Amino acid sequence: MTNEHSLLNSDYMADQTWVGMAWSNIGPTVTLALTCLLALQSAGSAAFAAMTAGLLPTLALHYWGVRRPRSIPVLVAFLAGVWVDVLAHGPLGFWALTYVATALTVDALTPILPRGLLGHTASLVLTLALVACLLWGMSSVYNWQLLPITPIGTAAVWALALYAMTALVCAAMSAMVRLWTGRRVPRKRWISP
Amino acid sequence: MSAYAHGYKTRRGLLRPISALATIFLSLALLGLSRADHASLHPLRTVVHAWSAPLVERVAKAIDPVRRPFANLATALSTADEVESLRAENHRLRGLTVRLDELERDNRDLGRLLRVASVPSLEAVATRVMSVSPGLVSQAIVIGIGRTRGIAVGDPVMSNDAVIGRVVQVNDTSASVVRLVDARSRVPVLIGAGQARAVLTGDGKDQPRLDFLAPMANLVDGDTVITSGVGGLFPRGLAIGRVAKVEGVWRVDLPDAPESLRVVAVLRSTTNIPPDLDHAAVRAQSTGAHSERQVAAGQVSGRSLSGPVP
Repeated sequence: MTNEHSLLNSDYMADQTWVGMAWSNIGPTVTLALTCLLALQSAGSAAFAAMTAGLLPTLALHYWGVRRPRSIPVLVAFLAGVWVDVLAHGPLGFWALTYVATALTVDALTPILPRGLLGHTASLVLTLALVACLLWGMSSVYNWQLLPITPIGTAAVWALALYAMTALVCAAMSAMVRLWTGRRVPRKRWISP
Repeated sequence: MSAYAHGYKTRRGLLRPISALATIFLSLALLGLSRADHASLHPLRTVVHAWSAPLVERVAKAIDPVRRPFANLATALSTADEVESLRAENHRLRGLTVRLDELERDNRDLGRLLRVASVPSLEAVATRVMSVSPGLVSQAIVIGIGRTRGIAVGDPVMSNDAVIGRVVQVNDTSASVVRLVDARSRVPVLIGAGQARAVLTGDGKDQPRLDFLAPMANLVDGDTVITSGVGGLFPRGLAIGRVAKVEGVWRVDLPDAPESLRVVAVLRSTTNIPPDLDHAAVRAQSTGAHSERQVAAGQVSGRSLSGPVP
């Protein structure tokens, strides 16, 4: 079954132009970097907001992982995590491992789950559940005591609610690139110069 | 060809699993080294911090107009109760001010008579919180001033007139602060009128626990907790919070709700202040209200703690 004519796949049409090709290569990474910066901006917010903000990059990883499998290399996910770890002055490797695990989970789930809204939702719920368990396990082992899972669970639920917003931002960025691409570099000319 | 098949078939098959294994191994190795607080990680942190701090600060400023309405709403909801308690506290503090002046004078005279070594003066510098650590493991914040403003490793950081943590890493224009609730934090404290000694230990929860408390210590819920000055980490007498017994364990209620961590004050030693710093401008602000721009630029000195620390 193909989904070449679906709305999601319209990004591939934009790939025919140089801007579109550039976007398809670096767009996912750019949005991941943006969410990493936003992940650190919870100053002045409630406690659970900090943890929810930390999950924003996982949403970007899921979004692109489902729509364009493997468009974000694992190494990039790792580096993004290390970047967040350093800027947050947390233990190095904490968010790095979380983001790598997210990328690999989405990789594993995408081929086996049905496509469409139901499949994407199931994939997101499973990914966030696994990430929450991983965060809780890592935090407990690192602190050498059983930490409450409620804050992480709450953050995961909030992240689920925030997914629509993240997806909208990513889709809007893609749409803007497509619009711009269409005006500046005609697709026809790129295909047969 | 489907989008998924396209994604899977056009990439090199083995690269992904190999890089996955390598990054998982690297992450675990980094976690282990961080747990051991290995010195080899410090240069990495410093370099990445120095490179990224301006970017993070710009993003913080850019999204501030979006963030502020939410923060203001939360503040407005709790304002009525706060105004009442502040009014009562203000009344009590006015009474204490006169008494404090007397005691300060006596203290100075007695110190002179006993020839007590003078304690370094401290001065508060207000700054914006640039980023907050997302997670249970680390409870750190990054602030927007650093070495160029006279900040040094170990400087206490205050919010709501209470200590919230201390500086653990300093770059030129930013610094990392580990909060008291962080699992890495250990602070010697004195509790209540009996001045019972203990060590305030962060464990990732909102209320850090009191360790090494003497069995005979007579504590009551609500007793004030202050820094003891032992070990030289903090000056003696800085307020921390109030004692509370939670599930049979003595813990400390901190006034630093995460919602209030937008602007903090660093107590820097006056001996660390760079000579080229414009003191006149800084002092001029200490008596009046200061703008957000000045706070963001780290140009504002809050209440001055110059003089002997109590």
